[in-house]
Amino acid sequence: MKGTILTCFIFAALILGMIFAQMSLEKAGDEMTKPLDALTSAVDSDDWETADSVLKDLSEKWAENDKWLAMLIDHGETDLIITTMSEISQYEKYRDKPELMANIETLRELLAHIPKKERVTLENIF
Amino acid sequence: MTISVIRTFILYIAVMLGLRLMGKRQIGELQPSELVITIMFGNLAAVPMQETGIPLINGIAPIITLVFIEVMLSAISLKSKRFRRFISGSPSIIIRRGEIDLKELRRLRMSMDDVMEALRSKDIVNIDDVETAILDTDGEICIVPKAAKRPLTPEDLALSPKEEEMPYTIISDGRIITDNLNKINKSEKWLMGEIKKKKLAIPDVLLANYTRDGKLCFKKKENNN
Repeated sequence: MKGTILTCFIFAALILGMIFAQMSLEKAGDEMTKPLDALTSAVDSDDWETADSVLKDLSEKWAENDKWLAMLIDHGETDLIITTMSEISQYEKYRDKPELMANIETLRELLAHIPKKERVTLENIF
Repeated sequence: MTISVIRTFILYIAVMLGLRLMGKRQIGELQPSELVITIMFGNLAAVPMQETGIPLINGIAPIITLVFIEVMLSAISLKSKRFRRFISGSPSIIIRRGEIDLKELRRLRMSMDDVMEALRSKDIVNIDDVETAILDTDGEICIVPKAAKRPLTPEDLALSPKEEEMPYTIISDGRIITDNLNKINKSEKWLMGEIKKKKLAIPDVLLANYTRDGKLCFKKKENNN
């Protein structure tokens, strides 16, 4: 009986953990995607000063989230995000607008994919 | 590589805890559902052990889920006979009153070789000596020999032997087992006195058993070196 109760308790904790993890993933995805809109419009209007500060803000946010994201998502995905962010930073530094815009879109897709992949949908289950 | 080693430790502990929570049956004869879960356990633990890119939780969460499923299935099986039959199946009688049930054997896809092998494992070489044979849900064959062929018991000889109970081990490999000493309501002082009477010291004793009728038996360590 003790074992049954303990198992139920651990499983309930797992379910709660899963709900909390999904909420955190959605929040992190949103948090990281929002600055990308500001970055796109700044680059589009050649406002490199704003683009620079937005990028810094984005890097800080990523550093905050990266610590715990690795516990929940495939490490390959976090590595890909880090690589794309490094590319964005270099394209921004050398004002390479077309490459920068393309990489911002790639990063947007990668970030949107994080909560999407863990969402309870038929597509993900099957 | 270090990560793989650490992950292996964590997953090993998770699998061991899982098996302990599922109970002793899991490490003995397995029911079909238990066999499935045990096989899945191995694979679930092995993948995140090698693939450091996969979050550890992806290995641990399914293990917890499987333990939960197994514990729930066992709990429901205890309450409902119908559910137990659905999950584990029901035993099949393959030899009834000395007659082999060929229809049942065919249904179970068992050959006569399988039956003979099971009989031999129970020290029975002649199928005519068997009264009943039952294939249990864990795959074990239970054999009941004919009355004339079963081993002689004290009851057959109208004897009533004294019940033998397990003795308590109070010293094992030169160490006192305090728990067992407490169970027999004896103190270490008493034990030391008994050992002194035999002109021994605690480290010299390989095994000391205290029987239910109050006898203390010592086995001395041999000096082989």
